[in-house]
Amino acid sequence: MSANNEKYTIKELSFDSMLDELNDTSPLHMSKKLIEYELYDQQDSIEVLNMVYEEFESKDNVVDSLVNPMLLSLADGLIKHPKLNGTFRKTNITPSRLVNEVNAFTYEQHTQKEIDDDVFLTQAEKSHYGSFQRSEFYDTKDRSITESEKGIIRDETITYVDRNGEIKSKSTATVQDDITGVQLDLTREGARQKGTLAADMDHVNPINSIRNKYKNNPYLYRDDLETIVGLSDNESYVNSALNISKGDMTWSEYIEKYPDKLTPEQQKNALELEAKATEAQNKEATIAMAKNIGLKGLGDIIILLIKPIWFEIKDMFKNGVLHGFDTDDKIEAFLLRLKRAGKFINDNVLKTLGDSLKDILSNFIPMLISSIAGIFIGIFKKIIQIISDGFMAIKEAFKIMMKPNSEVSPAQKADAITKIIASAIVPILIFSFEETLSKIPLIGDVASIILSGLATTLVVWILDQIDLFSVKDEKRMMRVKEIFELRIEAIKKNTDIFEKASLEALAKQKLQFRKIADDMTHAIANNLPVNDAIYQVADFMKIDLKVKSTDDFLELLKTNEKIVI
Amino acid sequence: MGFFNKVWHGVKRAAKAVVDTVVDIAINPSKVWNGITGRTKFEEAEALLQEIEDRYDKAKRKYEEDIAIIALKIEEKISKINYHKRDIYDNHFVRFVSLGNKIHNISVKGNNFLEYFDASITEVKNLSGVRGKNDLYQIDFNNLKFTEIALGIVTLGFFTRKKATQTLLKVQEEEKRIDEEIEKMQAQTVKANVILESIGNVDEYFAVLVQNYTKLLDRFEYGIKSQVQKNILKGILLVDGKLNFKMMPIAHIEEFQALFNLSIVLKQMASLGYLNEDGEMNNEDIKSVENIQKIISSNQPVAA
Repeated sequence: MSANNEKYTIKELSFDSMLDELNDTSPLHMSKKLIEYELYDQQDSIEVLNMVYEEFESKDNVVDSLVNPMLLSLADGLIKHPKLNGTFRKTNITPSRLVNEVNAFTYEQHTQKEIDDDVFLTQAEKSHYGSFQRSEFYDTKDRSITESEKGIIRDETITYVDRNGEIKSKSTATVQDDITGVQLDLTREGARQKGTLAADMDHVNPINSIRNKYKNNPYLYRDDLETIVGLSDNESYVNSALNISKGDMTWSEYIEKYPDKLTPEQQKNALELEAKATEAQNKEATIAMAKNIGLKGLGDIIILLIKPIWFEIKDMFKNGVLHGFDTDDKIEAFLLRLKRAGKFINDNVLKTLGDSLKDILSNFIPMLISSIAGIFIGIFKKIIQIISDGFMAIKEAFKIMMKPNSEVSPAQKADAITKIIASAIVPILIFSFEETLSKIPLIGDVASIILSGLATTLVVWILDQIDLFSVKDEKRMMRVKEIFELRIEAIKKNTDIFEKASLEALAKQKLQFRKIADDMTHAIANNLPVNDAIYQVADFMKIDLKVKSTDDFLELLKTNEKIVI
Repeated sequence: MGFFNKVWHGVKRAAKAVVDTVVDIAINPSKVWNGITGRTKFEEAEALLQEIEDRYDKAKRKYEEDIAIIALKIEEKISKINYHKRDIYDNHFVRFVSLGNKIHNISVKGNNFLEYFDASITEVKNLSGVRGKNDLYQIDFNNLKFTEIALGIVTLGFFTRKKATQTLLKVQEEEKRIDEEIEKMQAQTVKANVILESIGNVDEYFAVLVQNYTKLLDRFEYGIKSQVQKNILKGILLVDGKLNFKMMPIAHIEEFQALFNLSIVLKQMASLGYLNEDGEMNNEDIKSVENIQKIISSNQPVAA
C-alpha cells in the first residue's frame, strides 16, 4: 500500500538547485521569487485525511477480500477434491490458473482461442478411408491373436488340392456362428470338406462405422480407433455369407434394412453382441481421450463456462447489479446478465464444439461418476481431517500470539486468531451437514467442499466487516500516521533548505552590494570617476544599460534633440 | 534449563497479572468495568484531544504573534521603499532634469509604483484547526444515548468498546494532522522572516543609491555652475540657455553620463513592485529604453 504515496507527497526542494536559481535572480526580484517557493502543497490537511479514508473504503477491497477467496475456494473444492481421484490433475486447470483467467475475463477482450488448434489437425488423418487405410491403420490385429483370445485351437488338419493341382495341408478348427449358432469351419476348404459354411471374423461394429462415429472427436487419434476396432468384444464369428451381406453396417442398421433375413432369435443375438461391443468401445474411447489430451480440452471448456458466470458475479459485487444496463429494475438487470452469460456460453462453447461436445460429455461424465463411486471415504477420514484442521488453526493462532507486539499489534493478533478459529470451526459445522448433502452422489460431495470454502470465506468476511477489534481503523490510523509523518518530514526539510539557501543568497547579495556601494561612495567623495561603480550596480541588479561608454553617451547627446528616460 | 526457567517466569508473570486483575476488581471495580465498556479508551481519547487543542492553540498564538511582528516590519520596509520611490520622482528626478537641461533637452517619463503590503502573503492558506467532538467522537461516554447503552449490553461491551477504540484512533489521526498544521505555521514563520530579510536588502539598495545620487547631483550642480560662470567670464553666450557639451571637460560629461545611467537604474527600481506581481515595468518604460537602444545602435558605425 505504501507504494501509492505519490498523491500525498510534498515536492521536496533541493538546496543546490535553489541556490543556483537564487543566484540567477536579480536582487530586485528576490522577494517575489522567495514568495513563489512552496514549502508545502496547497492541499488542505483535511482533504489529505479524506483521501486516506477513501483509499480504505474503495470497493476493490470487496473483490479482494471476498470475491476472490470465494472463487479460489470454489476452484479448490472442484479441483483438489480427493474423491475425484486426481481426475482434474490430468487437466491443465490449477486453482490459480482458473482464478487468474476467470478474473481477467471481460466480454470485450475475449478472443476465440479456447481449444487447442493442433488438436484439430489430428482430424485430417481420420478423414481418408479406403482399403489401403483399412488394412494399414485399422484392421491390423492378427487373426491368430483373436483366436487365442477366444480360446480357439486349430487342432484339425485337412489336406486339399489347390487351384494349381498341388496337394496342400492346413490346420483348422470348428467354431460356432455367433448369430445362428451353427457349426462353421475357419477355412473354406475345411468347410467344403465338412459340408458346412465357412466362418468369417466379423467386427461387430464395423471399422468404417467406428471411424465415422469418432471422425470429428478431436480427442481421439487414428491409433485409438485401431485399438477400439480390435477390442475382443468387437470381434465375432459369423458365416461368411452373412458377413458379406452385412458389409459396413452395424447389426441394428442391418436389421433395419433387412428385417426378414434373420430370425427373431438371431436378431436378439446380434443386438446383444452389438450392445456389448459398443459398451466396451465407449469405455476404451474414454480412457484414450483422457490419456491423449490429459483432459486439456475439458479444462478449457470448464474455464470457458465459468468465465462469463464469474464475470457477472464479480461485476455485481463491484459495480452493482445495474451497472452497464439501461434499466432501473434490479431483477431485469439480473435476468439480462444471465442472458448475456448464457449467450456467451452458447456462442463460444456449445457452437465451437458442435457434435463432439456430445461425445465428450457423454464419455466424461460416466467416467467421472464411476471413478468417484469407486472410492470410499469413511467417517474415520473425516474425523482425522477435522482434528488436523483444528490443530492447524490452533498452531497458527499460537504462532501469531508469539509474535512481538512491535510487529503485530494486540488488536491485529486478536483479529487474526478469531478469524483462524472461525475458519476451522465452519468446515467442521459444514461436515456435520454433509450426511444430508452427500446423498446426492457427486454433486453432494463436491458441494460440501465448496460450501465449506464459501462459508468460511463469508464468515471471515463478515468478521472483517464487523471488525470486532477495529483492526481496519487501526490500519487506517497507521496509514494516516505514515502519510502525515512523511509530509511533516518534507515540510521540515523544505523549510530548512529554504532558509539556508535563501539566507545564503541574500547575504551574498548584500555583501556584493555593499562593496559596490563603498566604491561608489568613495569615488563620489573623492571626485573620482564614478561610472565604473554605476555599471557594476546595474550589472548587479541585472539591469541592461544601453549606454555603455562615454563615447556612446556623447553620440546619444549629439544625435538627439531630446532624450527621454 | 534456560527454557524451563523462561516458561516458569512466563507462568509467574501471567499468574501475577491475573491476581492483580482480581485484586483490582476487589479494590476498584469501576476500573475493570471501564475496561469492559471501553470507557478507559474513550477517556484516553478525550485527554489526547484536550492535549492537541492546547498544543494547537499555543502554536497558533505564537504563530500569529510572530507573523504580526514580521508583517509589521515588512510593512515598515515597504513604506520606506514607497517613500524613496516618491522621493525619487518628486525631488531627485526634478533636480536631475533641471540640471540636465542646462546641457541638453532631457525628461523623465512614467510614474513611480507605490506598493501596499498585503498580509496574506505571509499567511498559511488552508489552515484547518482541531475539529470538534462532532467530527471525531464515535461515541460520547459523557452523553450516552439509550441505543448505545442497549447495544453495549447486548454485545457484551463489544459495541461500546469498538466505538471507543474508533474514537481514540480518530483523535490520534487528528493529532498527526494537527502536527502538520503546526509544522506549516512554523514553516510560514521562517518564510516570512526570509521575505523580511530580502525586502530589507531592497530598502538598503534604495537608501544607499538615493544618497549617492544626491551627492552626485551636488557634484554635477557644482560643475554646471562653474561652467556657466566660466562662460560668462569668457563672454560666451548660452544658446537656448544651454551649455555646449562639446566644449565641456570630459569629467563633467562623465558625471552627466553617470547620472543618466543611475537615473535609469533608479527609475526601474521605483517602478517595480517587490512583493506583488504588479508593478512590472510598464510598456512606456520599455519603449523609452528601446528608443535609446535604437538610437545608439543606429549611430554605432558613426561612433566607431
